[in-house]
Amino acid sequence: MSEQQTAARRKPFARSLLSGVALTAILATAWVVKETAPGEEQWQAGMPVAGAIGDTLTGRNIEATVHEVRIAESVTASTGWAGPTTGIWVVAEISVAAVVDDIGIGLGTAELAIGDVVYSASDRPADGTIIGESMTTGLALTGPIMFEISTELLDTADATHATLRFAQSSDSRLDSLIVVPVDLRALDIAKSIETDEPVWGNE
Amino acid sequence: MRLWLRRNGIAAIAILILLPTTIAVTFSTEWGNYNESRAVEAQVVENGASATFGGAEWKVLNTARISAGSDEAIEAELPAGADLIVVTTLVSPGEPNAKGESPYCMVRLEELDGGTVVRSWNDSALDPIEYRTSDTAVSYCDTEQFEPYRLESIFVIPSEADGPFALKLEVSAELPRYLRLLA
Repeated sequence: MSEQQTAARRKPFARSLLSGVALTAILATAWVVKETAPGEEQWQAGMPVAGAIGDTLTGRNIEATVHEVRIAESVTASTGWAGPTTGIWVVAEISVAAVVDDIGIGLGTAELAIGDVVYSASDRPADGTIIGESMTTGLALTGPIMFEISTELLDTADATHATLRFAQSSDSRLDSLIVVPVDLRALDIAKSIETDEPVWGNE
Repeated sequence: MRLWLRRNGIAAIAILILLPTTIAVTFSTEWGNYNESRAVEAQVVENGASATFGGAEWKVLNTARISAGSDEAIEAELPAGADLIVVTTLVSPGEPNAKGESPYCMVRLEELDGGTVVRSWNDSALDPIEYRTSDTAVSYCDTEQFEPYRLESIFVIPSEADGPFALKLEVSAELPRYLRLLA
């Protein structure tokens, strides 16, 4: 058999090998893309603006400051409302304002996340908190928000890395999400606390 | 390659044209419907000029500012660090519409930087302040008023907002067009 005939016989094998390698590479690339591409939850998620207690955090159309966080067995609001609970109250004193426009907006999202458990701010105290109040462009609304949570959660490791989250809309996807970490386990539990009246205006 | 192009050229060209066209048509319809329900096309009216729009003639007569700390601000119980902008507009309704009404409007205050709106505020007529509308004006567009009347719009704004300002006037039947009356 001549050398030319041998080379001709090897060529199809080399081609097949090349095709196999290329196919493997394509499949591997597809697998990596599939595994690493963000899912619907990620690409629609809110855009976090993170900071500490005391920081003024500014998002697209929300500016927020968490002044103080307290925990108490019972709370009395400025309106005289006192809420009995089988759990415990986490009370945050915050200021919020709109940044560019205030077309029918309030504090749509006010949440406390402890691990996978997420609490929305209670509307039980009604006018005793700033929940349900309108925000104004450039003018702060300052007052308490209250979370009624399970006492057992305070003893979990997740309570060390709890987060307060705020957004202008109740649907916080694809918009700024203010995120403030809070170590709930480091806070003393008061028997009873009173909260201040919500105030509209800049200091 | 040439053979492939000869066989599939027309189909390839059709795909190159139809695919972007389909995407453009789909999104432009969505975008168009979304935009038509919002006030996004400003018709600018210079200060002191009047404009016929939405079944009435509109003209800003006066813009006043009540500054934080002044006697008027204290009397109006303005929030701390806030001023009050009062815009008086002369409204001259035209012929009544099909419902027999003169136009209803919604107003906002815009803070401008060149032709761009940087911030805006809601009408503060329902805010918890004690400002009293002038006896010769009303605080809303009166659909039962067919004679010229004065519309007094108030806006609580932060004291650091220094304008320039414009009154944004919307009539729902005219959307997406609206009037930007320079104040």
